[in-house]
Amino acid sequence: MHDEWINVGSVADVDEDDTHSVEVDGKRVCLYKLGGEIYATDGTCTHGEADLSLGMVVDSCLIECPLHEGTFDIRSGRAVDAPCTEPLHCYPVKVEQGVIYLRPVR
Amino acid sequence: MDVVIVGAGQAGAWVARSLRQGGHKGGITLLGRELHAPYERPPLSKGVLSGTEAHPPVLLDPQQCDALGVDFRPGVEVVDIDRSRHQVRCADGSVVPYGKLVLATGGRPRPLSCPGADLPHVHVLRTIEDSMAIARQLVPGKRLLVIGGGWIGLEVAATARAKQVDVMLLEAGSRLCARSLPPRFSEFLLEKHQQEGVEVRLSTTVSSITAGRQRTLAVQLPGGAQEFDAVVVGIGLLLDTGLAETCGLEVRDGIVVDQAGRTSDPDIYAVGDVANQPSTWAGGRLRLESWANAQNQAIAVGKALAGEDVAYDEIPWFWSDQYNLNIQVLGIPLNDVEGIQRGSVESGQFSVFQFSGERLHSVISVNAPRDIKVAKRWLKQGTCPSPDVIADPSVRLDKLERAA
Repeated sequence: MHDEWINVGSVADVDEDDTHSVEVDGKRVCLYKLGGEIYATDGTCTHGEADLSLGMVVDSCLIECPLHEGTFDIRSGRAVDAPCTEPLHCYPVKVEQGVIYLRPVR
Repeated sequence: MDVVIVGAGQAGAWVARSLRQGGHKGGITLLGRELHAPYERPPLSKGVLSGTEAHPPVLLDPQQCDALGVDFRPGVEVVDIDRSRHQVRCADGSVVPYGKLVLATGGRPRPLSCPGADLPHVHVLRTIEDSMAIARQLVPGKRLLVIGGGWIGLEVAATARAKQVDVMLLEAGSRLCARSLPPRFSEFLLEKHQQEGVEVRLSTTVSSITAGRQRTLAVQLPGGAQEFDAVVVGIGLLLDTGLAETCGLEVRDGIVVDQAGRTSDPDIYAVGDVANQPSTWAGGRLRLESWANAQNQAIAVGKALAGEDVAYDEIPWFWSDQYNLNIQVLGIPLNDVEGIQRGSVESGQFSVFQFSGERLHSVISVNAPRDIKVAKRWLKQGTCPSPDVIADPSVRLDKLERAA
């Protein structure tokens, strides 16, 4: 895993209260825009093999898994609603001049 | 106050979790007949059957049991409830006292009633062992007979086809999934399975199964006998209501409970597949054999036992994955309502929104999970856009609610 920041797209790629899927080092990552801020988490639910980018952003802070409706807090990865019990991994993100950078640390 | 849960499936496990998370300070004992830690069953006809998943999701592993203070005892069969003494008796003679008792006993697969139902390679599907036994038969070129055109039969057929097994599927009724889907969807699934190479015979039953030549099974069908390498039977669930019936609880299509999961005995609750519960969505009572009910009703009952005021009345929600189709059903579909269609069958992505008068009644979707999600919110909020808006593919339904 790198230590540097990876360009994963532009701020315009992500709609407000929405998801955007990207691939980093062969791994599915999900980007979100909440109140103009960009967040990034693993793109796969910790409960089952679901693609979180197909889920819905709820209450402007939770990502709801499309498979079973479990939710995680996008900002912290904390599992909120069943069946999710294991936390979701979050990635450090920075935005510079409209470009989103992510650090693929675990 | 100690809570004893009989049945360590998905529902039993969620009662235990929810109870502890709700602040319950007393003991929680979880008694399961199976030897496994509580697990979810849906993958047994899909990923576990096909081998892409080694094991279905486990709901309470030993560490979690420790952390939550749940005394999980696998391989225990409860044979008797003594309501006056507030204790249950197990098959080995041991006695477990309870302050409150929860019955999460589910059921067992209905066996075939014809001769030969107990021959080797005639399978039912409920447990991990069942799934693994069937999986061993799913080898390219083998001939599989699936008896039952409900969800289990259809998912097994789809999984078997993906393994290049030759599949014939029999349904005793005149259409597939008749208990759950309106006729147009039965037709849609029939066509899909036929396109995928399944030979489907409706209005057909088996009169007998005998040992065939070379370790196959000879199945007597209306047109004559046919040989198969294995048979999978998916013809319904026989509810495990015996304990409840014997001790005098009200049982009618399952163990009868109120909105907090209480049976006719105030110290005994029932949850999951076995529970017959009130539902405004059904306009009366219903019993749901679904993942969502096993989880969410159990979570609600756990909270009720922990002292919260609970009135569980969630809209029924079900899904099935067959081939490249994700089928979801929200509410209880009506058989004679055309509904508003969104998307197209040809595109492989569509939903049908059924209305009862002006009110949204149910939604059935194929590869359109977001339609189900937004509809669920509308139903909870008691609002709904007009049929014109729903049918307009240029409108994003999940963005609508923000504007409302």
